[in-house]
Amino acid sequence: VSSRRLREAFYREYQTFFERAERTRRWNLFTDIPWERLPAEPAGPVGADLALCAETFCGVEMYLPDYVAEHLALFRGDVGRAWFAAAWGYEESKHSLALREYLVRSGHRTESQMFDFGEAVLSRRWQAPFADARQMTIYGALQELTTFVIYRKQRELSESLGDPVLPTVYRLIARDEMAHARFYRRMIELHLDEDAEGTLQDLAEVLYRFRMPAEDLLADYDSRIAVMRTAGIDRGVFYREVVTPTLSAFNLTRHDLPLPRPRPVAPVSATSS
Amino acid sequence: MNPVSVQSGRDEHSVLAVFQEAARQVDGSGRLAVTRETQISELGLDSVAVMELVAHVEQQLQIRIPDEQLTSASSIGHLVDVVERLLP
Repeated sequence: VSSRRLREAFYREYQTFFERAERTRRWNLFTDIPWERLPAEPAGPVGADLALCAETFCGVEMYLPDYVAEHLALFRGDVGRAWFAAAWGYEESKHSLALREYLVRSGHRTESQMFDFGEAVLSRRWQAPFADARQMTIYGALQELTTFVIYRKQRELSESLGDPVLPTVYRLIARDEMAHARFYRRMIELHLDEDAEGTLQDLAEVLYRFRMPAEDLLADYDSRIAVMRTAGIDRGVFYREVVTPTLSAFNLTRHDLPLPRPRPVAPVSATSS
Repeated sequence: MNPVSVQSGRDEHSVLAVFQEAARQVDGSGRLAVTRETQISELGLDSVAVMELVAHVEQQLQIRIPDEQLTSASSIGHLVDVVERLLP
């Protein structure tokens, strides 16, 4: 449980986050995306690959009910972070809607296909990878920045391929992801101020065991990854564009982190030959 | 683990053995077999777990592997070579 001093600081940070969001970052799904530029017929195979990527990200974003429920349960007694979870949920809800709208309005998918897709997605349940609030805050910082990097690459790819709408969609939703990553970073800074040793240990626990959400939940995820590889992130990109900047924000490198606590080693059963 | 002194290829505590012990700790199942030829992608360890593997090796041998080597290595043998060059 966070101290009162920390909870008060979280709330002040949330006020700043929310004010900036209201003043500078709100966008409208129906009027800020140039839907009218979409051609009457969907593009060829290149467009099909972009659509598959968009559908995959839409699927990951569609675990929103689980993301929000898990975060609100974890942060319920903490006004700043509980309200952030609610505001975050609103902003994230537009991400899957924008991608879904693109898929339907571009003709790559029908309404019926997207409805089936959504029901298939929600037939499985996402669970938070960490039970501790501070660890989930660190996880949030890494996950939001990773998502930002992925969307930025998709924006660049769709721009280079001449898609008339996707670059705008990815620009808007990537901007939200970066704002979320910055909020989580501020939370981590406050944790470091209050308990440096414990927060460094949690940074190691989360950083070394990080996985993107829902990667084991979506059907056909491996084949989707194969298509996304051209604009995905590999080990080098993840390290350079997610890990290093996150640690640098706290004047840290990976060498400042302790080793994570050992995993329990399963006994190896003896086999007779 | 306490730091150990390793002279590459000249005693039982070879660099490869340090990687094998580190892999066992990272994997947790106790079943992970690592050789020089093992591709990192074959380990079932994702890219982040490799960072943890290297962190164990660095602590054990009291060395620091440059970040560019960490991100470019494709096999355990490649990482072993990097470590051997760093050892006194």
